[in-house]
Amino acid sequence: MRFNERLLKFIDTTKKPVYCKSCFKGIKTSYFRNSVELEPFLCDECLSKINPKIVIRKIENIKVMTLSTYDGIMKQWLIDYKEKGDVELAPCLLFLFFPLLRMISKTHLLVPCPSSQKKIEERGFDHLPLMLESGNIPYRILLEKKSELNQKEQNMGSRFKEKGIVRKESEVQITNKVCLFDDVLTTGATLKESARALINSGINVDMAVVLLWNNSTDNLKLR
Amino acid sequence: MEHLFICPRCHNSDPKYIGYKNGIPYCRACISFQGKLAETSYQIQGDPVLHLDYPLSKAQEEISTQVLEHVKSGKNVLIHAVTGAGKTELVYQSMEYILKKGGHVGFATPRKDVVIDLIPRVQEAFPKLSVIAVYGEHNSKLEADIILLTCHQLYRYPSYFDLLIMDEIDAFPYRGNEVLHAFFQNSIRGSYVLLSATPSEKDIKEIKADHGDVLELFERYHHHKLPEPVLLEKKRFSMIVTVIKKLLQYQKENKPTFVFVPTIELGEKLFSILNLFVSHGSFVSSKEERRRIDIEKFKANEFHYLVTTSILERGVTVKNLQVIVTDADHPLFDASGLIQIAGRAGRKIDAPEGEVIFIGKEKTDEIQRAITEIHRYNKKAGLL
Repeated sequence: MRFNERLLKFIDTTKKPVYCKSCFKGIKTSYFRNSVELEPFLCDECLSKINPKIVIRKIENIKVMTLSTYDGIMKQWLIDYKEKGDVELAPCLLFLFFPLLRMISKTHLLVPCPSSQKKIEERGFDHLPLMLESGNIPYRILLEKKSELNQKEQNMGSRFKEKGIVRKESEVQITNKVCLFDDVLTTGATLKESARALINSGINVDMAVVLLWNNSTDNLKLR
Repeated sequence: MEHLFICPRCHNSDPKYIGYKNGIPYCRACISFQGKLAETSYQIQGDPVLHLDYPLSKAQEEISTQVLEHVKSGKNVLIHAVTGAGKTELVYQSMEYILKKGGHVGFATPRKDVVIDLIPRVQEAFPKLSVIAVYGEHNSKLEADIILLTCHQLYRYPSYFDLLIMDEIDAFPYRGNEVLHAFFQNSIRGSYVLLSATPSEKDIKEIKADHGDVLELFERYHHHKLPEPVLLEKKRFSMIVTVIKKLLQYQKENKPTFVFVPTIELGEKLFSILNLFVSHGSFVSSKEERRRIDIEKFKANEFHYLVTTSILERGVTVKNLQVIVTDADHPLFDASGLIQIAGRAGRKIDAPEGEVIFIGKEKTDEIQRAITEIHRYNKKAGLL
């Protein structure tokens, strides 16, 4: 954006009332915050409820970085976003982590884990790409899901079963390293299958970023 | 020019609640309310005969008859009845009338705890009918002869109820919540009856504008007056000492006590101090999952006192209860909350009196209004 456009946008946002996308309260932001964010959409109170908790673990030779845990405001936002279709929450989920993702996108190609076509049609949107788009994070769709099974409805045993994730047909050669992107890490099955699908087609997958780690299940074993 | 979007469900048109999905506007105010809807074709299965083990007072009978007349003529009613007047019983006749005509009857309230407490009472009054509760985690079954529900669940019943009773219309979260109000309006296909011990001027204006009437009942069913609060102006340290002394006194006299606090944080701090000097107590708040267990233990006399937030200001009846309100001058205590809190005392016919003590640094307008209103109700009931 050119300087004069940024300046006009800055002036504009300081005049209009600005509301928090999460709690709908008016946001009283400082000029500093207005100039950095241009269109602030989270109030300080909701921002403070985001609990970043970066944990890196290895799952089958892939470095998996989880950014937060599946509880509190992040859990509620994800449920409202994914299950209830509140797409305006897309930028809230990754707000604190956009700079990290931008950094990763400079060395890796971000590839969202796939949702089934049925789910995308039901929701009216593809939730992972939309989250990345809300922060202008470049990504590529390389995977698709053949299985119609609803992840949430599966018990722990079923979650380990194959989900029918395959490499999407394409003639484009991928030479970059790939970083998978997913919203919730429970058993890691989706990540592993996604990674296998890409590796089997000759693509180098060496890391994954997952927004939330679901550590609430007893006997959770990341295999 | 942007077209004005009005949500068809909750009638919201405030732009801050409007989002866009694929360029199409959607309402964010009521988006959380999604789920199964009730079948409007449901028909009453049981015999809708009212069965009351106890007689109503003369005043209750009069109001009950007036409510029935209004419902028969399709009019709406706001019943302004004092705490402990027996509001629930005032609508039983009307419920029976609508049920006998094969209509759908619902009883809504803002709080889940109240819904749960109501089930046995309503079931006892209508023993041959099926009565279900619908709330948060408990909504797999939506249809029955009588439905007790939280106001959040009203969205499942569009144009469903021939008679809908809404209790505690001035309680959180219903108060001032336009979405819940819209769900309430959308779920009625007949008449409605509103119940409150502390209706606002706005509530009264609205019912009158909707061709309804206000019926008043200022005496309790047992004809004893409402306990009138006493204010003690004390600073923090002497407040705590006073509470300890009072709790020890009530403990000796075997009188259970609620100690109200304005916030969870203040409650936790106060209880940690009280617990050092007075045994057999507990702290309950909306945060405490086990509060229902603690309340049952309290009713069974295992606890002698409960430090509580406003979560217990309504819908709870305990025999011989004494009430202390700490930090009564806190801005979170408004007049209607204080009146509701004071109304916890003296509710039982075999224990019609109880002490109500407000303790604060100063007498606020809200405290003054609460004390004045309670006094006025007693005067209007001819009990002074």
